[in-house]
Amino acid sequence: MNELSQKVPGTAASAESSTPRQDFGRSLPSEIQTFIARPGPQSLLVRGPPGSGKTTLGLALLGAFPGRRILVTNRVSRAELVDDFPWVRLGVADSTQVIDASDRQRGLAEAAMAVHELPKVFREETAKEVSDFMWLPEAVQEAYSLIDSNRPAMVIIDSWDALVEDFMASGPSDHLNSPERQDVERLLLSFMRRSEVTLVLILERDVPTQLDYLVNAAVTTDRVLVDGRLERWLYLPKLRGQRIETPSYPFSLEGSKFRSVPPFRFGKAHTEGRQSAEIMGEPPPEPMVDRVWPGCIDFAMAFGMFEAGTTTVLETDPEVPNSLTQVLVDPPAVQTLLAGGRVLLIPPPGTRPNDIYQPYRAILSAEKLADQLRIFSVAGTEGVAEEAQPVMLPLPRGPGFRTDPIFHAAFEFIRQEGPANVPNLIVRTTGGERALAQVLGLPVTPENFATIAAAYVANLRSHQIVIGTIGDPLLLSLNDLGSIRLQLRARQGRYFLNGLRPFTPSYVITEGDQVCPYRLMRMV
Amino acid sequence: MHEPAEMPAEPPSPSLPVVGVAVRDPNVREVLLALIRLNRMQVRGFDGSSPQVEVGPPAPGDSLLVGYFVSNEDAEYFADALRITGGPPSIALVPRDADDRLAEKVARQVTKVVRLPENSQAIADAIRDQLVTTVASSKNSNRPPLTGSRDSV
Repeated sequence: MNELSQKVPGTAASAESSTPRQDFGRSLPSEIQTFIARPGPQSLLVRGPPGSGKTTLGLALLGAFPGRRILVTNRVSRAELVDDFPWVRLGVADSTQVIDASDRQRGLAEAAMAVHELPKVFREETAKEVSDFMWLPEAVQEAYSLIDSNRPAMVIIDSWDALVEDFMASGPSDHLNSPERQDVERLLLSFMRRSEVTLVLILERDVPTQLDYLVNAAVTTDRVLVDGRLERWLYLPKLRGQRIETPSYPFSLEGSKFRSVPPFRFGKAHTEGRQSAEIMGEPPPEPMVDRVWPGCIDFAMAFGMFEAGTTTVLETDPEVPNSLTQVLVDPPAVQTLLAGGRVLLIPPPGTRPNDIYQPYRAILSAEKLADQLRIFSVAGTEGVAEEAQPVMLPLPRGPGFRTDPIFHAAFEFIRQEGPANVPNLIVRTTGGERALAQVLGLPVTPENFATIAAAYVANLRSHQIVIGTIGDPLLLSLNDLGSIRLQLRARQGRYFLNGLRPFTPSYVITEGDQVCPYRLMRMV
Repeated sequence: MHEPAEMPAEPPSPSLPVVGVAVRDPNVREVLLALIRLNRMQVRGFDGSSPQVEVGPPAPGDSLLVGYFVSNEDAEYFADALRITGGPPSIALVPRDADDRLAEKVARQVTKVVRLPENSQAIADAIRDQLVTTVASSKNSNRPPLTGSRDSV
């Protein structure tokens, strides 16, 4: 698969060399982009269990911030930071001041003793501000000293829990006025609010504290296993003074970079009819031999390619719209047609054949489509243009019809071979099959469905994609047949695609680009 | 992904002048470090029986050295620190009740003397003013700037 990525420009691997700074802003949820663009002082909590992506999120925040950037770190040393996040060198490091607080720093007891000596140095009445400042951990003091009062700054403390607990642990002090943790936190916010500072405190504790009430915003990160697959989620419980359009975002840490996924928005494909550029997908990196190119490098890298003589089963949540499965199916269909192969489609009921035909027609000539494409639909041929009539497999109407010629026509069509080594492609939906069966008066059962499915690919140079809802008995009947078995689920406005066979991580379907109508982001 | 929120890149931070705090008394040293940081100046601390860099990168080149003197040992310690840092301008903080001979000796050793206790802002201003003067004169004399830079990755 790495070979694939090297051959196709614009893929994840080839993107490594692109400028990362432009990625920082867009990789963050829009609400957070807006938050960090607001003038300071601002304060943000980032809370989550270990390994949930807090540090990477913090670095993404730094990367997207336009002013002075200061990182106080005691969880990851400076050296580890560079080792673990090599991209930091390119985008963040040029103007980020890193304060490595991983070594033991002076604590509360030392601060108390020093405060006790203040009268040696200052007149009593002027010592209050300095004494307050001395109750802050040394690394925070150092960060404060780096703030330029004339420029906005972002200060990230990773992690505040570790830093303040280490600071407090050096006590108990016998100094009567030693502060408690919440006092230190109030002082921290008080000092940072003197300037245009966006303060980000990364927390490991999962328990809301006084800080949650004092800060302007809070986000939480989490990592969960769903059917053995990792998912990461970011939640936005609080953004003061700002409307939260989307309260949760899945995100990935692929390449040690933070990338969140906004809700999937269908482009023109959904609202104005599918556009040619959106459905074509990207060309194969090399000529396909006895394989159907999925039309998207991300898909090929995640699940492989469609082998001739085999079946791919795609199970979907009922919440997944047909238009989304169409987004996945169009690219391999168009690529098959472009390569000279034949395509047979049995769309779900309710699909107008013309809506399928027209986008293909924008790419290929009517003659080529008449030769290479067939659409088998209960919607019939009403409203279909004259030139498209040869593409439609007509349904018999009226009494005394025979079903055999129709299926015969379908089989004969797909049996015809195109150019050497170019397989044909069959895309069937269980909904479409049932609708056809009802019109034709033929029962469709798991038994005969499996038989028909096997017949489509047996001894034929074709690949078959069968689409249905999760748990559909017709799909279950193909359990022994599906060489690739995929599951497509909807959650919180996003669509997760993962392989049951072969077992793969979860991928989130993201909006496409000029090259492909969709992209896949691996959840790592 | 979302529409990009393009942020103009800020140029790398220039090297900043650094104040060295060469004070034997750890508590007074903490107080002065806090004062200087509170006033947003870069600071480096020294520790040990002979001056060793405790805070910040161990390199000569401090733009200004601040000391606190209550004994001859303090004066010797400070002299060592001056030598390590290449003899930058310096400010001595001397308690009003300190021995007169010590105060005179220190006055010969440093650029400016501040008697304690003093208003915190007055001390900070004295340090800042001396720092500005030092940096300006080093630029005018084409002398290599006495600067230190924070670590960046």
